[in-house]
Amino acid sequence: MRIVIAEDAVILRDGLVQLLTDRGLAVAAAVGDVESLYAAVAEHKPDVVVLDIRMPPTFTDEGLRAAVALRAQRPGLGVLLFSQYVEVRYATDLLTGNAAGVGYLLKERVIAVDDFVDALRRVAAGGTALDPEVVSRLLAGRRSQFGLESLSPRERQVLDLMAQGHTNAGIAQALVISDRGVEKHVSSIFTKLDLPRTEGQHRRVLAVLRHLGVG
Amino acid sequence: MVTRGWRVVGGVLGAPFGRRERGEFGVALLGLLPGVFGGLLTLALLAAGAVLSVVNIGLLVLVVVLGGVRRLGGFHRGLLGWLLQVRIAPPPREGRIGLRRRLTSPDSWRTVAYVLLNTPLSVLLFAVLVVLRFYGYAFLTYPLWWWLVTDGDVLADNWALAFGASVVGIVVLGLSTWGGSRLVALVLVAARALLGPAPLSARVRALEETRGLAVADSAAALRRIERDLHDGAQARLVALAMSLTMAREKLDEQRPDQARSLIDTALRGAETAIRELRELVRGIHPPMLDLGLAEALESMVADNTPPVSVDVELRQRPSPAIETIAYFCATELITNATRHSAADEITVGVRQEGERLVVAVRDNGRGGAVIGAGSGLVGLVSRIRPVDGDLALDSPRGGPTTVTVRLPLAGLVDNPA
Repeated sequence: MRIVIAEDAVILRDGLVQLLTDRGLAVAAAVGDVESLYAAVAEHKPDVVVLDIRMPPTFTDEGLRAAVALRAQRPGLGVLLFSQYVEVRYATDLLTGNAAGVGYLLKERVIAVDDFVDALRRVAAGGTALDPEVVSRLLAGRRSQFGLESLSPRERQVLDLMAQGHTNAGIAQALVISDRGVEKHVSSIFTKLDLPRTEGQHRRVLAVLRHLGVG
Repeated sequence: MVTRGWRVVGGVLGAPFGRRERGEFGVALLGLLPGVFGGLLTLALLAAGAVLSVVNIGLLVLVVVLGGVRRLGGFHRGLLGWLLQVRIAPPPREGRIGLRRRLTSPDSWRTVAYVLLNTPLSVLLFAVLVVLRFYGYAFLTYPLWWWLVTDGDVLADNWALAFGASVVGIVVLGLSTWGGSRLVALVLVAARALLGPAPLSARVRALEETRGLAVADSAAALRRIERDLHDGAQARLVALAMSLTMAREKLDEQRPDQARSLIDTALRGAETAIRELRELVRGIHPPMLDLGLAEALESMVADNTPPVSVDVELRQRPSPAIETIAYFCATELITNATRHSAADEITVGVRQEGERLVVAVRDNGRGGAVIGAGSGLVGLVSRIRPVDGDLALDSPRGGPTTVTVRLPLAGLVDNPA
């Protein structure tokens, strides 16, 4: 898995490189602005790009726009957006159209290195990784709109983790239940929310996200 | 020459029936009683209040009298607007201000001056436009009366004198019309000067005051940020460094378990610091505001309970400073409604009215909200006044409550953040 990092704060950029290198991951390049990011992507052809939303020159949403542009240029490139704050609107912008290979996480999630690397791998493999905070905001206050009242508390937990992009194995591990148990919950959720049956875990995640109004 | 002569005669005779003259006549007729009694009553009550003001009740009387006088001023403005189509803007509303400022309000005392000045003026106006005109018509039609009335005292006993009276009548009517319109012009001068918004000096005073508010507001904001950083992130980072130092010592002492637990503590501290900083940053400038007011408000209310519907309709984008103020007004009002109103539905409307940005927050809660008494609305008012904004509250008991904030579309200071 080849990684390119774009982050304008040097201390975070270097820390991230060190963290990933320690885990034996190949960081092909680490850059500080969007122009160098385009150049680095063209040169190294990475599997996944980790990028900050706020970058020079305007420090507003350069990273987001670069992510959308890069995905249009290179379908199949995984993009993990990385920010100090989460906004549902950014997630929606990013996931609209094709949510495969997209991630959006708070910067502090790197503290839990294993989870972070797991998210990075999922994104590189065409999966998704949405910050729990984004998901809880998506779900909060709009339960009835999404027909979530019919779900049992356990099913809601499973849905929450699915929306974050976790695989069945990941969900089973997080909730300490068996894979088969997860499978049963997922199947029940799809029935209750009247979602189309699809094969493949990534596709099912996308179906859930689409149901929640993103992607 | 002949046409001009006819026009003068026509003016004298026909004038009282023109739109403008009708209006002036109306002012003289309808303005007499409020003019005389309003003035005398005001004078008497003010005198009573002044005498009583040695005890506190007198000050209260004065405040009530001044309030009444302002209403009377409103009546006069309405009368002039209705009859003469002269629109005079009312002075700014006083809102919730203290007793002392109410007593020394220049706007109130200017209204008092008008009411007192209006007493002799209204009598004079009535005399000239109503009484004099009545005599004018009486003289004009004298030959008719002389012809009809056969007995009793008569002023003129021949046709020549009777027609002479007619001529006098015409002159009197002309005088009445001429003098009346001069007097009305005088009334209007007084009304514009005394019933309208305060002159420049008062505006300067208002600007000084609001500039003070703005300075105090930004100083308070800086102090709040300093305190949040000092008590929050800064303290946490110190604690974190201490934990790490101790962890290193434990490692030197070959006690990895203790070192690990210290590092765990440090990690939790770091996570908390990050979360606190994020909240702090959002409070200073919400990132979504870069995209626009609609996006920022929608993001803010996304997980609010009760649900909030946001409707933003703007033809042009306000200046960044105004956007920020509008955003914080809306969030403050939404928070108020969420906490205190027991509403199950809140709507936020942002629209453009000419050069004004109007933010209206409405809830279907219990109503009865007031400005003051720690309602948070006082803080809002002091925040919007420096940019010439104003706030209106409509909150009958039982609801619904609507708070409307009006801001200029472009701020006084307009540099992008």
